[in-house]
Amino acid sequence: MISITTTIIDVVTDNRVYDTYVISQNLVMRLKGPSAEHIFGLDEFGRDIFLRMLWGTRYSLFLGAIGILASTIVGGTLGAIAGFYGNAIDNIVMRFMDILLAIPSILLAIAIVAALGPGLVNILIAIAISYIPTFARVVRAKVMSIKDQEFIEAARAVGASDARIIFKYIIPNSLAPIIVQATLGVAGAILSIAGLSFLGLGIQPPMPEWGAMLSNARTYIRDAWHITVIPGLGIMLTILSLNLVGDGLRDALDPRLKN
Amino acid sequence: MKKLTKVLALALAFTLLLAGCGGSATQSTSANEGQTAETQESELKDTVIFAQGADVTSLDPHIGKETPAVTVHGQIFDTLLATDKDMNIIPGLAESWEILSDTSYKFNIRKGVKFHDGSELTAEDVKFSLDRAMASSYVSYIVNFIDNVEVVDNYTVIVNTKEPYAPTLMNLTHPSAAIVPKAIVEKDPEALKTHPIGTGPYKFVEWKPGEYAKLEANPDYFRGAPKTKYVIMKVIPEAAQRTIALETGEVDIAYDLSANDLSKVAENSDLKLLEGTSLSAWFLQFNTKHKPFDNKLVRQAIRYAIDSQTIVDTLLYGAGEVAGSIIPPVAFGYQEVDTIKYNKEKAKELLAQAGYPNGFDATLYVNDNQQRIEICQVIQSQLKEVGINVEVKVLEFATFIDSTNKGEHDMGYYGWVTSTADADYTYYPIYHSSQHGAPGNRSFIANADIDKYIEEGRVTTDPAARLQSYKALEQILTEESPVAPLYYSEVNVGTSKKVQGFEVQPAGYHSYLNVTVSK
Repeated sequence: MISITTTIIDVVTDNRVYDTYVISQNLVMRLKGPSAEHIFGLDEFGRDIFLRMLWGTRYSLFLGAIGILASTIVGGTLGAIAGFYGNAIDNIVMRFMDILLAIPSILLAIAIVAALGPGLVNILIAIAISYIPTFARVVRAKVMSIKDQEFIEAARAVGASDARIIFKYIIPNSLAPIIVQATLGVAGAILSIAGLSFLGLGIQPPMPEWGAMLSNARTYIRDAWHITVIPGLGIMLTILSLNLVGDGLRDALDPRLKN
Repeated sequence: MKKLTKVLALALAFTLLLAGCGGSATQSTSANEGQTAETQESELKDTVIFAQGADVTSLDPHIGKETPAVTVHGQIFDTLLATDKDMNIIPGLAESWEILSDTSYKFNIRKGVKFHDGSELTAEDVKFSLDRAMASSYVSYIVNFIDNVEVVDNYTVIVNTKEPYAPTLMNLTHPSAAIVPKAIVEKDPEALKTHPIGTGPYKFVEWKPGEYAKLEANPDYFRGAPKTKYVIMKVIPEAAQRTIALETGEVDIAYDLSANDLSKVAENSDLKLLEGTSLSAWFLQFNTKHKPFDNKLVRQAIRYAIDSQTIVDTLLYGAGEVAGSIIPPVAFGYQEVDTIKYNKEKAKELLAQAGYPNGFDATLYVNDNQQRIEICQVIQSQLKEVGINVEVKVLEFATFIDSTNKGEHDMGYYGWVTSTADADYTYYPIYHSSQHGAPGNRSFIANADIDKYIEEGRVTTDPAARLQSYKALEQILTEESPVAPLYYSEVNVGTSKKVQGFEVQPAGYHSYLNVTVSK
């Protein structure tokens, strides 16, 4: 939760700080350990790791969140359509989703980035596409269970259009699993972004992305522990907190677990 | 409860991880102690294992010209001539030679040399091999000065060159001018890729791509049988892991250690660090077809803006030397001229003169090697100080070569090994206007004066006159600056103290003929 708050603070900071502190190098001071002045120490180019971690949240958390939002919208719509209409449409949409699901999401993301080239927008596209099938599935299952309930029949009886039924009645009633899935999805997406950056396909230098920081630091793991451990811990704690939030939401929103 | 379990599980995983690290460190110390004790027994191991960062590109010497390929097929094949460790020419498969004229060389081939399949080496094999190398799109630039090869008798060939070519003998020592068995290759042109057969000190056993290659001693080798029965090359891509493998005794020899590990190897009482001046230079090539790199003031400005000394002192831990040229000082043809040195103010001045007082945006292409990327990031930051915004584009090696051959880059980061220790090997492909793209001229410079001096240096056989041409050439290169030389690297090899007889070869083509490892 704390990391999410820092993102919001972070997004509004201006570029001057970034240029003078986050990416400017001081090679003479490289690999210096944590001190009062630089609480997380300095990296392999003599840059302050604390500031880079802060600025890095915008790539990890922000990209993760936006990517998942996009895939929720697209995947959710496709899933709702498939679940609502059933038959041929359901088959076409869901078999296509099955094809996407057959490819591991990180592999799919790598393939997309390799085809489009590394860059912020392309990573976003890769993350969004690779998470679409998961959302389509969740939403479809929920929609199928809702669409035969009495209140939907009632809506149809008073002459509501399909679109109205989907958006006004079905979607709001199937939000709970989507929210849970999305929270967990953000955690997965952050790991994917970090993974892509670790492989050199993600955020390009000198932008401070956590996975890239971890990847660049690994040569120095025996010389300066702090430059690998800190981004690693950052990723771990963020994923952990997001998973805890996801679990919490599931407990809160799932009526069956309320005892 | 669920949350608690999760936290506990993670904490446990983390502790295990830390414990794992600690454990392996202790293990390695005890392993090393054990080995020191065993050194007392003066028996020799039958296998020497070395680790390198990349796999063999091809075992066919007329295809695999990259250093990681030569380290293996260089043990299997021989060339007409060879070099000693100071890069002097010594006899190879040719036991003597005679210069008949400026364009004609006679070689007397050693009698009784056998290929690994038992057939005898003859002049026919030599002619066939050189013709094959000339026809290979990978290595022809090394031997394409040859016009034709005449077979005089079974043990004599005459090599005729198209025009006088000073480095002829040097180029024939290059491992890609290897002599291959005519009968086998004629039957199956692909044979050498999977089962190379040569005359060298080691015979091929097997190659598992991405993992290892194994060689076995050739007892009939003409210089005498190798001292160790087997040589195994292991591929270990991460430099840090190569050092660890050396420390734990998994390998006896590790090539190309990363700069931050050098002191660890040097201080370790069980290991030796061997260093030697290399023939490699590292540099930026500016694409002179792209704006604003078509302006030589811009190219000079960038050279003034890069502080190579800091790069060498910090990222390389001093293991290198600032370069003013891309010809290494140990090679023939190196000429020191008053070249461009780091001066930020001068760089800004030149940029303003060129019409870019506020700088511009540019791309810098580099392949996905950690040290190279780091150096490019330092250059990125140094150029930002004079207003140039550089985007570092990291590409996989094959894509990198492909896209820079096509000229998609503004700037590209490259290394070049002057393998024959003769300046022509580097000047011609990097700067000559006929060598645009793949051969090496990725700055796409086409300058009549540059061409003129390169050609003079090629066709003149008088060493003093060649040096004169190269001096004039370096002066133009300083002015035109199609390339920004950065530094000369050092060849480093880490070995166990039990390894004897290993010599560092400046091009990185180390031989295993005399290497032994005690138990």
